Amino acid sequence: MKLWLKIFIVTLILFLAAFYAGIFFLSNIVYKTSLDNARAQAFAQHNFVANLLASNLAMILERERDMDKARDVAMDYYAKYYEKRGVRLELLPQKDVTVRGSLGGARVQEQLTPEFGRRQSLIVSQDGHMVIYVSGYMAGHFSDHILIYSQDITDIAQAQHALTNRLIFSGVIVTLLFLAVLYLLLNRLMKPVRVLQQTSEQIAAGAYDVRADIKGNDEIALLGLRFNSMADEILSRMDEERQNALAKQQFIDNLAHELRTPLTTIYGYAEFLQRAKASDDDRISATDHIMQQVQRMQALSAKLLELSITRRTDIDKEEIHLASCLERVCEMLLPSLGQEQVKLAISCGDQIVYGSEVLIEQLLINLLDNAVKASPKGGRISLKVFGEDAVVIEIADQGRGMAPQQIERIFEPFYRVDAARSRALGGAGLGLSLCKQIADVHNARIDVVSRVGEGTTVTLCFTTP
Amino acid sequence: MANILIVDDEKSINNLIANNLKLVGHTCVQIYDGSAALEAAAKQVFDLALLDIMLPKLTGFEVMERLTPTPVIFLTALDSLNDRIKGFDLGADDYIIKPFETLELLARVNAVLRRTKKNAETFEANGTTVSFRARTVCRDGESVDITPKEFDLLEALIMNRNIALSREKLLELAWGYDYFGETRTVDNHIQKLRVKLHWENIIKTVYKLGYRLEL
Repeated sequence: MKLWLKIFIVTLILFLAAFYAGIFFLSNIVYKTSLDNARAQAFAQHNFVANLLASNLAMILERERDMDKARDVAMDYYAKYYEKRGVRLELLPQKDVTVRGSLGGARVQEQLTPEFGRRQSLIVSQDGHMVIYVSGYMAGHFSDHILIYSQDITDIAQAQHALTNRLIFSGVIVTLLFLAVLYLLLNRLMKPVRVLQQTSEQIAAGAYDVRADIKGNDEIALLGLRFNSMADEILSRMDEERQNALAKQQFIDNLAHELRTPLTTIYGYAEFLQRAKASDDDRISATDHIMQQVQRMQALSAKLLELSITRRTDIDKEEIHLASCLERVCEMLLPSLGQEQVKLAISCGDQIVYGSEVLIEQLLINLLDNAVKASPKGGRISLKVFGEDAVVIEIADQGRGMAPQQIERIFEPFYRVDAARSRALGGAGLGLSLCKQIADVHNARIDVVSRVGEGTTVTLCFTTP
Repeated sequence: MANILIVDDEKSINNLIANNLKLVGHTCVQIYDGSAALEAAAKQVFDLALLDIMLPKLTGFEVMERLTPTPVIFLTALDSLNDRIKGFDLGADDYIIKPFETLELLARVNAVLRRTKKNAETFEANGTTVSFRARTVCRDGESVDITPKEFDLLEALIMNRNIALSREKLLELAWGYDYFGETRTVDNHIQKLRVKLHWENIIKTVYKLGYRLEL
């Protein structure tokens, strides 16, 4: 069963129970009070009539001398008088208190026999009428007589009935109103839950960019907010995973492509050596080509191994004094700088970065090597180190530069800006991928700014020490 | 034989193709980038161009568009259907995907040359002339009696001359894929050809490999 329906039914049951219990309690009290009033009134009337009758009977008795006769005379008058007011009076000797006429039934008779000196009352419903009886002994000479006073009080019961009906009727109206208000209220309260439910269903069905639109600041709104941020997080993770998978797939595709050329060459020359009637020169050139391609594949596999090692290694962070590190890097680059007649200007303070010295050296060598390759003969490269907390290394050349769409891809494995030239120089297209990975494990950022024909500036920013 | 333009920026592959084409008697011009290919094509007429697609300066597709009416075979590592369709749309005569086998390359080159009628009509060696169109052989002006199968075998040897062909390969080339004969059949036919054409010295037996027509 749905939550709102549960709340609805439980609230409704509780409300109905409380409301109708209240109604019946109230109407009962009213009824009891009016009955008590009627009884008290009947007692007072009985008392009054008994006293009046007693004094009158005493007077009549002086004149008549006969008890029964005097009683009949008096009662003839009184009964008639009170009958007009809806009251019946009977005066009976104690010994034959029998309820006559409308006072039928042994039960009534028995219960209407009062103790001496006390009054007894009884309310009887019969034939749709309600009658109150009050009986009591007379005073004085007639103390062996009992006066029975009876009055029709059906109107009290009717009033009670009418009241109850009215209460029930108004109760039904109030209940209906309550139902409507409760329904609207629950509907309003449950709307965010419904929205959440629909949204989660949509997300489960694959619409990952759907978000729950919930306003307010109650717990459910908070839940919706958390739900949305959870969905965001999942989406971004999924994107990341997809990107990773894509990058891996691309890597494998590229690798397969990269292997195809040397393998074609090696197979082709081997076949040539085996089958062709070739001259000695041809044979030597064929074996040369085979050896070159094997070397190329060896270099490629070494680079790949390096990549995967860098990816896996948790580096030990040691202090690296950039000045001495750059000195060693320069030494290693000296031959290629000399060959290309490129000048390298270094400005470096006493900056320190933390990380693996071997990797940082490798990173700088790769970046500088690229700068040398891009530079024309006799070009200049400047390397500047600056910043205190966040150390920045900037390498700028005045070489050929790159177009924006090339810069986007330079960190992809096997991407070469100038495929033919790079391959001729023996590059595998993995250098910058390696740089990026080294930078990543050092929490450093690499930015590349370049203009075709003007040169390239690479900045390496160490964000955390 | 034919004059062929080879355009591939990978030097070793370019050389390999040239070596093999030269073996079977073609002349080759080796070019390493797209624009140089156009320059070379402007200077002389080629019977066929072998074009790589990923070339420096101009792509193979761009070269192809400006190279008409030279017949073109694309020779590339790009193996996607789109690239192949684009190649054929541009009017390429064939599309070979790297890595390729030498014999397949030669067969496809021959097929294109035959289609464009740029192939040699006759072949001559040791005083014996073979006419491919008429399927006849003359020795010293006299016609040599030769069976159709012997001619097929002779043609396979000539088309792949200076390259050793296994008996299985010769069966495939002369008799067809679906022929399940014994390799002894090849030996018998080779023997007959040697005698009929007086080619005992140029149809050589290559140890462990098969036969090679050497010139």
